[in-house]
Amino acid sequence: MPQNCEECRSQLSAYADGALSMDENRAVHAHLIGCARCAEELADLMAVIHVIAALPPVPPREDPWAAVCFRLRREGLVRSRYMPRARWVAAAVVGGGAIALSWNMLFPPTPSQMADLDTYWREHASFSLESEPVHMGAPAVHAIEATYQLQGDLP
Amino acid sequence: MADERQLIERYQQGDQTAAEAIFRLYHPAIHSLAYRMLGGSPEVEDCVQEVFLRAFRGLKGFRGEASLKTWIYRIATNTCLNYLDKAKRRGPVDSLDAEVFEEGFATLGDTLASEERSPEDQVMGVELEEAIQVALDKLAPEFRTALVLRDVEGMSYEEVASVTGAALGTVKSRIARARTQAVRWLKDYLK
Repeated sequence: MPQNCEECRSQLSAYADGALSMDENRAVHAHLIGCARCAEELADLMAVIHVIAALPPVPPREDPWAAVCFRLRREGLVRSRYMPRARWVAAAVVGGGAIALSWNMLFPPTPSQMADLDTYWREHASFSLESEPVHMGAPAVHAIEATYQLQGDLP
Repeated sequence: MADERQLIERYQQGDQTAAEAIFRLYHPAIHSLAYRMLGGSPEVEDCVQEVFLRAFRGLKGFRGEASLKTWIYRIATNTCLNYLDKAKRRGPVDSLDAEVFEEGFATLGDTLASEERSPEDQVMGVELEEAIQVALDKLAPEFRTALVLRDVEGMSYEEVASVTGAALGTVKSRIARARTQAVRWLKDYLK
């Protein structure tokens, strides 16, 4: 169906983008062949599309990452030293062990606690006192003896 | 994009380097978009910062229904429109935009013609770029958004519709009208 100028012009933008259906495209094309004014309008439209598309990107004058990052950290959205979950678990286990060891070294058991422990072993352990060092392990016994020596309470 | 998804997952676990990578990926484009939308106003830098803060806050719950690009652009255009709205309420400069649009095409042509540039003065380059920016600034915000996303950012009609939340037909119509205006305002620069 032949188009008039108004119909044609309403579709020129989509025509320039290749966004018309085949039939619409054919109708606009046919009109443009016979209408110099609409053809000129299309040329102007294409020129404007071209110059706008050719606008250069505007490079930022500032790098706002530091400011953005500061806000993200303050809001708890990111951490500066990120570790995946598996590493967090491993770090927690190692850290926990280290804390427990440090605690024992800083606050060694008192003689009365050791006596309680000794009673506990006598009551619950199935081995004889003579074999105690072997079952407890020599390092453990040495650690207990060292503790008593440090505190001057070695019997 | 697989890399982008990994970056998002790492960011969601709190990885600062992933956040920075996302920022570096989109900062130049978002800055350009904000510049074109806000007409190079001094608020561009503030606007860009706000875009990324909003984006990163929202990204914690991002499920990937839209592409990250579409999603960030949507936040960027909405933030720019908020800035334009605030600026419009603050002063009379931007209120001229609405008047220009309501006055119709003939008056718009007269507006630019009143600048009385001789053909010799109409050189390509910086002057043309400035003229294009002036033309963009004169468009009503929703028309400016559609034109910038389509012709400056090179998005498809569907992407523009997705970013702006407007129907496809509305997007086509806005782009067509914005271009018709731009032709009237820029015609002399193109001869």
